[in-house]
Amino acid sequence: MNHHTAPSRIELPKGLAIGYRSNALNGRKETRLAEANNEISLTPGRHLLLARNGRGKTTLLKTIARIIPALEGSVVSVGTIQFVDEDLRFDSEMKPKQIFSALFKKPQRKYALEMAEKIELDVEKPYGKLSKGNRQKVGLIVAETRTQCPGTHILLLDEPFSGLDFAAREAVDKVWSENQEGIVRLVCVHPDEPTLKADTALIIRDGALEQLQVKGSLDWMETKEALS
Amino acid sequence: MELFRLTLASIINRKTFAIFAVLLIAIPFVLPYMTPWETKPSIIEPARAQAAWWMLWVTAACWLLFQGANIGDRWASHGILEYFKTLGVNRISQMGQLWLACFTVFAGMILITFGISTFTAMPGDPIEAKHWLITNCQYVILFLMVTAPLLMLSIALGTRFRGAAAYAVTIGLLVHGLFGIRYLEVFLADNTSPLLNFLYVVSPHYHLSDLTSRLVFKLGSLPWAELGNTAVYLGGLGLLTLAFSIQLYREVK
Repeated sequence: MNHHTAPSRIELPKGLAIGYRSNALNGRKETRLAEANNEISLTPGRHLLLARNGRGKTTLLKTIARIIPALEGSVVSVGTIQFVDEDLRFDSEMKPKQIFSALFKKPQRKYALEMAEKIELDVEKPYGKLSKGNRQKVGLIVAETRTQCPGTHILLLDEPFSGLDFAAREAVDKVWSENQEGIVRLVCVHPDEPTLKADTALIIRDGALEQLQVKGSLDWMETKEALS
Repeated sequence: MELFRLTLASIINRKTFAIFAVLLIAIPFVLPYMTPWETKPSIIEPARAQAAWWMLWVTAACWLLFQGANIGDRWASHGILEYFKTLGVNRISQMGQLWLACFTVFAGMILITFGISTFTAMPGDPIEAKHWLITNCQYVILFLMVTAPLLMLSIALGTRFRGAAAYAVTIGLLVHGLFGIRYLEVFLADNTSPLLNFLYVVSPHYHLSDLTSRLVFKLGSLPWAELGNTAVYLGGLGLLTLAFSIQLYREVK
């Protein structure tokens, strides 16, 4: 149920550089993590972001979300951006059901509860007592439910599967497949994720950011070799 | 207003406000009977108003400022403010929503105090009763002018530093502004130290908002000109605190 005005998209120009600017106050030097070799365009669909540790995956997501500025160039995006950090945490005393009630109106709340059932989340258990995987499910549900609100949407998900078991990953994958119209999903994953379904993949290697056409799913042996 | 709703739900869910709400109701009716009221029963009502207002100051110091510091700290370290930033909720809107969530609950507490002080302690004489009502209204206005900016400061400090530090700074400012300055005044009567004089000038004179003694000793309402001057001073101080808070506020720790 998406009410589109213009299709959501992300444009990363050639020469876009990501990293951290120097800071005279704390003595930090400029750190350049990656640069786009070619123009990158992310249209509605699923895009994976792959790189080894410390190569700038989260930095790229934060740059697109405008939490940190690009070192060179600027990101163009159309759509409401949601950056769901791996460490996003809600009030430990609140139950997921209460979190959904506070954030969403009735129709969206219903969607959130239905998704919770699909991915097996106990919405009556306080957030602080949920396992890491179940806490991640709350963040995923919040992000996914918001896409039911009018407008175009961009989801930037930082390692959303890291705490999820195989069945939960498959359930999330199914929800995404059912709700993919007009939504750009850029999903940061570890290269050894067993499920790597995607339309394209962004890869950071040797300080270069590249886009690969995947059309279906990534073979993780090939990915491993590409990143080595 | 999702951040407001989430924060309000979190405050209500934690229920600490209920302890203070019960105390706000109970203390004004219990404490006056711990005075030698049998010798002069007419002191019961002023003592009730005094207890009600002091309990409200205690609630502001112990509950309101703590909530602000704690929520600022928690939401900033847990990535909630960063998440709302990506949704396009800017820092001023975020601050406003956090402030409003805390103050929505606290407004109920102010109403309890105002109700007890006005309607259960009002003098029988019509002229005194009119002054009593006006003084209580004036007290609410001045009280808000002190607590509202301090809450904003505690939230902003909480987002930048640890909650405990943010709380310590704001409660320190409030206690200094209410009591510390009075001690400083006594000290300055026999001392001409320029440093202490400077400290006196730059300190927040929150004690100006404390009209408890006017109620207890039935001094009548604050003259309007004096109220205006006090409101201008506290308003200016509030704006400075707000500007400082906006500079301090951070979405990410």
